Amino acid sequence: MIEAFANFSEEDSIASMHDLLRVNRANGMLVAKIAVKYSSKIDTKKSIEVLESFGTNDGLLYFLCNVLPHTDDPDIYFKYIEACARMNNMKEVERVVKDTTFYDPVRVKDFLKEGKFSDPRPLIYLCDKHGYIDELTRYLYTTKQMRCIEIYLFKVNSNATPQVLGALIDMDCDETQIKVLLKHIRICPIGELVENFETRGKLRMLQEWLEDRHNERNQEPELHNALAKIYIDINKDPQDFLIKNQFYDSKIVGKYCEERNPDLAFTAYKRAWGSCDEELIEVTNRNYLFRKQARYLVERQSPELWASVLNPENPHRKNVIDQVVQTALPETKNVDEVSNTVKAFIDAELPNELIELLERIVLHNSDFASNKSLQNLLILTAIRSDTNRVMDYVNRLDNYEGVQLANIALEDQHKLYDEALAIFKKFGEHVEAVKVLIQHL
Amino acid sequence: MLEALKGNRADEGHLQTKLFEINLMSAPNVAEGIFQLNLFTHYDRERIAKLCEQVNLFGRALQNYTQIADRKRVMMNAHAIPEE
Repeated sequence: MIEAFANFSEEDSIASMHDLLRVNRANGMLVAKIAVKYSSKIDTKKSIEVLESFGTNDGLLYFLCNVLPHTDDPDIYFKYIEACARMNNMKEVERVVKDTTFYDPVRVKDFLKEGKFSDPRPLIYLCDKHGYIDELTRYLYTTKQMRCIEIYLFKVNSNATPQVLGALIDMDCDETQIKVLLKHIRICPIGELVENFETRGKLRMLQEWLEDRHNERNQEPELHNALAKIYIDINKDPQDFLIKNQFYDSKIVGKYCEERNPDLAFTAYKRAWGSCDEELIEVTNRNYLFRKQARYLVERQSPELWASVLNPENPHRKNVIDQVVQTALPETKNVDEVSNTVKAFIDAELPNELIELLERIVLHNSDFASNKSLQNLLILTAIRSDTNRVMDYVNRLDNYEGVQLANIALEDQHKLYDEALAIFKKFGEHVEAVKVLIQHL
Repeated sequence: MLEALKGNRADEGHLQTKLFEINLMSAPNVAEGIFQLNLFTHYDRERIAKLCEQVNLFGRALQNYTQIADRKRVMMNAHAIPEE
């Protein structure tokens, strides 16, 4: 019989195949064999059409099985998947979905959804492979197949957790159900998970999960950023977390705090120790936290940062200087902090402010009151820019380079003869004192 | 007669036809046996095909008909025709 088709034209073959099926649908397998044998001359789609029109599933399947390896036509792949699904051979559908690439994923996905097959695995694998995760979740949720969502996340791809849970939130899925799912997931992309919850205003739902990961010593910044945000929101000792935790990103967390609690923003930025200086200055300026800013500047000891703050262009310069002079510097016990602050004022050419600053620490009984170089500097600065104060300093201080400073005072541009005389007298330089009296007074 | 025609000579085609005719009309299964021997090629295929069809030897009819229309008709008895 099959040989009889050898010298039939395509048209005759199709007609005869059609007739064979018409006289007896049981001829499906025979027709399929003929179609396979002469597939080089009979158009595959015409064969499918004939087989389909008589609903001979096993014949159609036999034919498709045999032509599939030789084609990359999405239509034929679709027909094959359709036939397998109709015969309830979902294992084979799953195989084709997973192992081949020639089918049209959208069309197959829609077919699998509409077919409402009892085995959802082919649909799950298809959606996972082609990234239709949101749609898959919605489908499984609305068809009440939460169990399949679990299987998908636990057995197939836990990396899809962020998208799946995001979709569930969007569909108003019960929060406890979402938490149950979360409880079973250990590893998934944390950044994406956090983002998907945060944009939906549900970050706090993640608290427990994030804490569990924290306890496992996970060091990903996204995890610690999220925890910081939660603790800030629920006010669970956030200051302590921001100071002690070493893994969060200062820039991100600081930014998050700015509108909520500028003090915390300051803490987060400060802890970056340099990389968030600009943000720190910004937030303290905006919220009049000049005392904090001043303390940071003194501690930080960065010439560049000092220069930027002491720049005349800075509209807040006066406030900051006041706080440095009144609070930050008098508080410090660290000699390097003092000298770097003084140096910053010198570099910024702020003699009056410098005098004020030095007075604070030298005249007002601080740890550095008897520091020789500070005393020298105070007198020298006064000689150069505020002569009225020199006499007072000369009398009140006693640990400075008398002879050198007296000679500077005598220089032509200063002409501070009384003050020089007082210094020489104080240091027992009587000859020099007399010289001053004779030559100048 | 079978013995005598074994040589499958072209000038004995009418005798081959005769042999098939006799058997097809009286003992079709003997005719089928002769077909299976695959000895003869010079008989009148059209005539023999027609006789085969009449005695329900549809497979042989299909083999021997040359006209497409005839073959299409015979093949509708698929249940009685071997696949290969």
